[in-house]
Amino acid sequence: MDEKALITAAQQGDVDAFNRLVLAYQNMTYNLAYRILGDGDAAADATQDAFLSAYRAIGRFRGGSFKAWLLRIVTNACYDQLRVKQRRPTASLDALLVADPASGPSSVSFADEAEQPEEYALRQELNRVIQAGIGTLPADQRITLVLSDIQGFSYQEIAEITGVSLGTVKSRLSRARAKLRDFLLARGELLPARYRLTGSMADSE
Amino acid sequence: MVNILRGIGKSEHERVAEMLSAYIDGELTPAQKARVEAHLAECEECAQNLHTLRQTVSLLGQLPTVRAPRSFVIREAQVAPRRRAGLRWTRAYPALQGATVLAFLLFVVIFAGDVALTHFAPAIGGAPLAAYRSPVTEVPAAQWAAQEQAAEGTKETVVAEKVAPVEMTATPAETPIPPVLPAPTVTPVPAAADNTAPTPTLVTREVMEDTAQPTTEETRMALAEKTAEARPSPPPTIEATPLPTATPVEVAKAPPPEQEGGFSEEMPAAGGLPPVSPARVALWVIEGGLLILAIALLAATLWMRRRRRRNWD
Repeated sequence: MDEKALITAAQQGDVDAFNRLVLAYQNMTYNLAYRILGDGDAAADATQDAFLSAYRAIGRFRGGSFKAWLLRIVTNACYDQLRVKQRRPTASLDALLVADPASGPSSVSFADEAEQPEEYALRQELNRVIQAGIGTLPADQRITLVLSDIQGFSYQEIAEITGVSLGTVKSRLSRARAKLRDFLLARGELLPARYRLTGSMADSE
Repeated sequence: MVNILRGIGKSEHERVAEMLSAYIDGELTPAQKARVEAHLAECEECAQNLHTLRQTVSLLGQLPTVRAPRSFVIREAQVAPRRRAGLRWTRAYPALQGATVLAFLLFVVIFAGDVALTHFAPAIGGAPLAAYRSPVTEVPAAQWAAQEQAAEGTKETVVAEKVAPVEMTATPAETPIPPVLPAPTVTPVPAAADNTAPTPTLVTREVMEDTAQPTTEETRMALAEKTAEARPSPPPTIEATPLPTATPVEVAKAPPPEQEGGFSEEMPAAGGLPPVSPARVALWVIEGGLLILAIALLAATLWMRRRRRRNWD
């Protein structure tokens, strides 16, 4: 069954059909939530909330991009989680910076599993710093940055998902990247040499 | 040289700095792109910024994809707002049950008062009082059966639950009342005796089914024996049970005084009054309304009981 047929079935109350959509999108959804929230538990909560909301609202889905529609619900669920976090802040973001390398999320999958242990540790350390940097951004910029540079959505798609104009997407992304760049530069000593942001133009791809 | 240029084109530098992010993504118009590239050729700071921004973007891109730690498929139970609403509804069940009992009780009291006033008004101190007292002293059969059941070791609460349904099943017997209701002008008492007569049998049958009681005669005999005992210490279920069972007893007790013929002389006196007073019409309207309300409540209660049972099964 293609996506359209599954959506139609789900709209008629077919939970199984909806669950096939869940299975198709849950990794992307969880990854998005994880990168926005920087915390596995909060990401799981946001993902679960998002799929429940989506099921309840699917009757109101009127064509267009299902992915964009779903991700809009996911980002809203992330906003909710961020509000919860603000009320009772956890140490998870700080922990990302200081925690020992072994405490990373167990579900992280690495592109190259055959990496040398030292490489692996350096890369994990770098990823922790990046994630901590994302965590310093305001919610709007953070979500825009993750959608663009981690999920690879176009400006047009991000505008659709976040419900703002193209110009707003452009400026949010510009500010988010600049802030994250400054964050990474400030912690340049933490980064392995090959990732340090001090290279000359000759190094750039 | 660079410093001079920067000083002159300060706003240009800022504007280009803001465009670098979109430049990386190829989201600029050809004119904007040419402008940025022209500036980059002369401004080392912007060139450096572009480089570090590119690196930042590429670092974000190399972040590993985090896989969902578990399945997020939805279970039916999580998304059943209708069923949840239904359950919330059935929480109103005890209230509805109480309202039904209350409506029937009110109807019986008013109807009995109506009958008493119509037929025994002048002799209010005599027979009617006795008729009113008798249901109080004679403990209803179902209630007494409950007491005996409790003595046998069953919990009283369980018995009370078993007796409660008797109200529900016994009361429908009163539904034939509406057609008879207009009758009170002629002979209200026989009518009442008529439709309440089935109630005792229903009660005993129900009790027999539920609690495996002996035959009806045995129960009644036992009742007659133990009435005296029951009088001094009424069982705790007295609140729940008196209504439906008291109804037949009360009305059944009513006829005898009339059949005695002791009031035959009062009838002409009643006939001497104007045929129908507005007060009596109002009373009938109240009685009829109450009865309809009570029956509607009973129907709602029964419907909800079935729904609730289905939900909990």
